[in-house]
Amino acid sequence: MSLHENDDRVGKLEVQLLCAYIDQELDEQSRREMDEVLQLDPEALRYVIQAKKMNALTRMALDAGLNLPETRDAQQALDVQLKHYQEKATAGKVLTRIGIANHPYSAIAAAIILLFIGYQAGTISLDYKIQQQMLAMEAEKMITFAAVESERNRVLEYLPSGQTKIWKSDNGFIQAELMPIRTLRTDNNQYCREYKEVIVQNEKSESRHAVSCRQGKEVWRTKMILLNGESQPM
Amino acid sequence: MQEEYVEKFKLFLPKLRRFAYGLCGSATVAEDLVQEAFTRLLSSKGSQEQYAEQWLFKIVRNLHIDLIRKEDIRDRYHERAKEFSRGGNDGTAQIETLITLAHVRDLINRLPIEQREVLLLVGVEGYSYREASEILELPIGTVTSRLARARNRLLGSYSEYSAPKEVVADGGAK
Repeated sequence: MSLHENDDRVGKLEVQLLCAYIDQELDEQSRREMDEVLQLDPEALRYVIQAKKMNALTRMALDAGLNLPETRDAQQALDVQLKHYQEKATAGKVLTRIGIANHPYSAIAAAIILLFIGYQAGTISLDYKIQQQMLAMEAEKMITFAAVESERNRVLEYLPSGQTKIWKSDNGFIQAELMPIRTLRTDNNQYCREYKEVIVQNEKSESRHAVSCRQGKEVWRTKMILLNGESQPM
Repeated sequence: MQEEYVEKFKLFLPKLRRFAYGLCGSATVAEDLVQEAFTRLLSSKGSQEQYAEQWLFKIVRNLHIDLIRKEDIRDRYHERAKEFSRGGNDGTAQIETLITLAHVRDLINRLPIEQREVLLLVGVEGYSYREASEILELPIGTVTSRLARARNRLLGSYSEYSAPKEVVADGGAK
């Protein structure tokens, strides 16, 4: 799409009108009319789809950026710990991964791959409504994963070791059982907590045993995953 | 009263943090902005109780503008902003995804700030044009025109990035 910043039109439609459609600023009647007009204007339709994709992509990119290890030193320290755990781990039973490949990140990767498949398969030929639905689902997933993360942060901040918090997202999409196991303190006086969690989503459950370190009030970052796999009773 | 604020605040903390990060490009600076905004909310008492969410977005945005105006901080800010586009080289199987996401952060970071803040509020956080115009203290017309320019620019530069690098020749016509 060769677009210039000051282009007023894409296809036969005004960019500001397309934006109002994308951002759900149109009333019901105008929205329906736009649905029809867009089917006859491939270029404008492509703009709408790409802009929606870009909204989702930007959200993912920002969420992913917030989860990156902060410094190269921190990354190296994690690599050393990772090696240590890998040596101790029994092959096939314990999976060890660094924080960057943690749960929200995998979800982001899965979401982005879905988006690419959806869009590169042909922006026009795929049914537009299915694409919209897919985007809405991906957006909802991202929000839900953010909610799990936020709940995990609260549990790690406040819940005593050994107690379990059972949590369900507002939309019922995800249920989580979260249990801090013990609290650790690093040489730098940073608090870390070992925890277990089971996340149930779409009747699939995923368990994790990990260590997360405190970055600030109710801000915890998973530094190390000791076990990731099928659900086990806590 | 303060506890109510805290409870309300927790609900939209992830959004606020993402908005701050989108503006400034550094997780550390974003955290500072969010905490400062929250401190101001707690010390302001009462008047914006019902509008805490939009009020906080407004404060974060204004704090960020103050930050980039300060000459002595500018260098550090740009240094920190480099963190924003970092993160594509960890050697995992997800490397292409990481590169794409890092690239998108870079493109956002290159948008003029007045376009970036509108796009983050409306496109990413889902605020209506009216809400965004209140947060940014701008007429709705300005919000819509900035948003259109931001989208054009972002989509134009993203498609340049994601365009196929090799063109398949079909028949060798020259």
